[in-house]
Amino acid sequence: MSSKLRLLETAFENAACDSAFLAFFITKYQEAENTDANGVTAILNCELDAYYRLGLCLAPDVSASNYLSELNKISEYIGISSLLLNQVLKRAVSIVRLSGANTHSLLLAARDKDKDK
Amino acid sequence: MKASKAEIEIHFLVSSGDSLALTKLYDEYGDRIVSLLGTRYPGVARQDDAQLYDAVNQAFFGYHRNPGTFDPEKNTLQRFLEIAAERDLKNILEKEARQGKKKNLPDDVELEEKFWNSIVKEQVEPESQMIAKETIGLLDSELAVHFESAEDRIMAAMIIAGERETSAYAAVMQINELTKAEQMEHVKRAKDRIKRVLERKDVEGKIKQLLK
Repeated sequence: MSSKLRLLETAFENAACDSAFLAFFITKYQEAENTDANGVTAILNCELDAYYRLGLCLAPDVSASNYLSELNKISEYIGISSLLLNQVLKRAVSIVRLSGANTHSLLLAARDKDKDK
Repeated sequence: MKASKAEIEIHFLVSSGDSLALTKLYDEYGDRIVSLLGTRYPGVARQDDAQLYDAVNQAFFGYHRNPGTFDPEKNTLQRFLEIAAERDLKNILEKEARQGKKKNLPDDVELEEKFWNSIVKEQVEPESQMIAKETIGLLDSELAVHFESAEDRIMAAMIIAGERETSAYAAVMQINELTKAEQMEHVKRAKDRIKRVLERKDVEGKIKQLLK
């Protein structure tokens, strides 16, 4: 593996710890679908370096009005299909919501409830 | 020297929270700064290049989180990132040196230098055997939270215990039939991956708490 790819791989791993990044959602997708980086690159029809670079992009909010333009912007820059990315991202977001992995807002809500009591 | 127009554009993307900012930062400067650090620290590049990547990642993510730390009027972005990455590398090396002295063992817990080896070997005294079993149990349950495979858990425990022999890791990975060079490469990659998880999730800190 080249030095550039290893740097991107480690950066992707860092980004996967933060729900602001696409790496976080891609990793959740992989866990739920029991696949790995190679599996996702096959789905997205891209090379490994595009996969890692994709993970470093901030995740667009699927419910925001600018979602499609953000999705297109990311897809175009990384060089992948926005349709395929849309499928993976929406599935990943559902997985995260169902698994309660995105606990930050839930925790804040719980904290607010406690304050009210 | 002031930042160039292209650098100011990237800085603007980072400051404005553009979704592509971090990717563009890596595209533009990632490889360049790793090479630069590698040239300045050839020993690190030879022995454990994962430290170079960690340093560059810390610098880039740090800047991405706090773009206000860069002043385009005073410096070029390239120079700023170089300085940040070099500073982070020095911190990593110092931390590693400190940990090396402590052999990565938990504070306030009396464990021998060859802790892992000694608990793997048969204990003679029933009491110490019980303590060892309990310790292994605590280690196992904490490591199970972070590592799915048994192989990773064993290797993580070995890293925590300060095991340095490639052959010991190669035995766990069942790659003894490979050449020494291949074993070293495989072991290094696996260790780097596990170390990153240990560091990111502060597993050693949690184990330390459990053992207390």
